[in-house]
Amino acid sequence: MLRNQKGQAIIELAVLGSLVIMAFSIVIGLSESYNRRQSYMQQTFRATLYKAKAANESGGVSAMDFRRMPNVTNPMEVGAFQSFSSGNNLIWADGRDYAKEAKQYFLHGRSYYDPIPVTYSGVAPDSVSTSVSSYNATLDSHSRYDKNEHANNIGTTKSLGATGSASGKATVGSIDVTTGGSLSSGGLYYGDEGDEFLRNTTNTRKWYE
Amino acid sequence: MVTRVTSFCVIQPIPGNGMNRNGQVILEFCLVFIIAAALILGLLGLWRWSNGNIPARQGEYERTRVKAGKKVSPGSPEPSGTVYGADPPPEPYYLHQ
Repeated sequence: MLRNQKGQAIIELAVLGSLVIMAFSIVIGLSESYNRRQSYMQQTFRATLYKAKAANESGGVSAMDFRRMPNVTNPMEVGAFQSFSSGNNLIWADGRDYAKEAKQYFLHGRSYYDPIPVTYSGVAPDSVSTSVSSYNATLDSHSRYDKNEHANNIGTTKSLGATGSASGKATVGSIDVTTGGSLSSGGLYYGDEGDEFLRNTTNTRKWYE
Repeated sequence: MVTRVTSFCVIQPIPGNGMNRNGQVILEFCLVFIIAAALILGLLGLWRWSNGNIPARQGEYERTRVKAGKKVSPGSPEPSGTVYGADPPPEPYYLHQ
């Protein structure tokens, strides 16, 4: 009788515990996602401000970013893939008529501005329209657990290594732009080929007689 | 009160069993309540921190917006490679109190 009750308690705890952890992971993932989205939008707006100032006219910047979100339920696994697209168009001019020319760009990996001819924009003059048409992500991950027992201590090491790439196609005006990169530290896809996402934990326990 | 039927059909109470069970329930509840409260408070703290980051980031960007777009030499085009007035602010790691 008592053994059955214990078994039921353990099953209930396992079911309820995993549900609670899942609810936690949803809440944490949502808040992380909102934060990342706002951060990317603000960064793109600041980049647009610089470009509009340099053009002394209207400037447009579009960007598409990929990243792996944190995995709350299992920190030693790579999290879910998410894409963020952002774009702005603004005028920042001093009103004089020298060197003014509307510009628009696509920002690759937060580092390289790809000029997009304004005249090819099929939406409206000097406007930017970004839509994520498609993306493709690959992932190859391996984890390792080592346990070393010595006379008076136990050492454990966990490691996670992952390689992957993401490639996406965005439409800016009437031009199709392809962007992406390799998975690198922090879950970002800004790396070059051969980069790796790494995570390690080490733990040593000692006891003394 | 938990009772036991003996072979002589005399109902005898098992001394202390019911009280012990009540005590165990209270102890288990206290333990689980503390753990659950710690988890929920931790989650709420994380949510508050994350929620507060959004206006903190907005404020930082707005605060540096005019400086970022200001011309170094008013009235003339900027030379190429101009250093802009303000870099994008760093990510807020701590909430503004």
